[in-house]
Amino acid sequence: MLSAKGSSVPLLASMVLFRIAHHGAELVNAIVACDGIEPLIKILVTGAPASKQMAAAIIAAIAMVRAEPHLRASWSESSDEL
Amino acid sequence: MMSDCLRHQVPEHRSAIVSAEALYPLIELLVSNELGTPEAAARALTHLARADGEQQTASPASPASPGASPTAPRTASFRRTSSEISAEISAEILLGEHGVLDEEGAAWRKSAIDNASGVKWLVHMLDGSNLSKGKHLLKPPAVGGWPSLRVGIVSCHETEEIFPGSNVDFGAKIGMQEQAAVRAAAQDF
Repeated sequence: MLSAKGSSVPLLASMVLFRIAHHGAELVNAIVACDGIEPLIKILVTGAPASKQMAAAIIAAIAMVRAEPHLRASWSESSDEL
Repeated sequence: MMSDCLRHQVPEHRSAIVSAEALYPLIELLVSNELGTPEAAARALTHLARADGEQQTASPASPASPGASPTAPRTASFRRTSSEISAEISAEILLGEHGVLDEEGAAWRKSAIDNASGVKWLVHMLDGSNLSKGKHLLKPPAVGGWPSLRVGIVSCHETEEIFPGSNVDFGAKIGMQEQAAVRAAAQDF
């Protein structure tokens, strides 16, 4: 959705991701694990003004946390249960 | 989908962001006239400039605020202005936590931000001249200039209050420029 054509869909996606990114390190790491950085940076360059702001805010949230080994282990366990 | 994503190893985020060439677009956003965009970009640069060991605790809740997310937005009372954010990031770039350039990764990122004119525009953010592309024109209130913000810092005054609360609500912003200047002066060029 971040890479969708037009301005409204990437904006909507970035707004949702912004909310997600501010609900814990696990979700931030999930965004990164899903290759979310690249489309966010593409929005920084070519997105609509509002999308750019959202993308910058998401990148700030991503840069704030770092994956911890024990979290990776817990994700593996929890994802096995999903 | 989620479980598939979480199975992957998560790389160091700051390095991944910089490797994906995010610095230039973020620095370009420092001069955006979109309300809030320079602040968001400066905040991102702040975190990118930090040493790899400096980050929010990844625990889902902190003892001070049970249940709160480590990345949860602060309340309105903690909302920070452009000059505060730019002062912080300028200090982060100029100095490490202990006054010296620290880890290789962080030092490289700081250098990259500086080389891409990031510090220049962050300094311009101190007085809002980033919005006029470096020309020292104060931001008009309509786009969030200081007069419209009615800003000031509690317990950071240089002058006597004219009346209770006047320094906070109506006084000029005092302190952030000085803080940035002191940190810059401490750096050996």
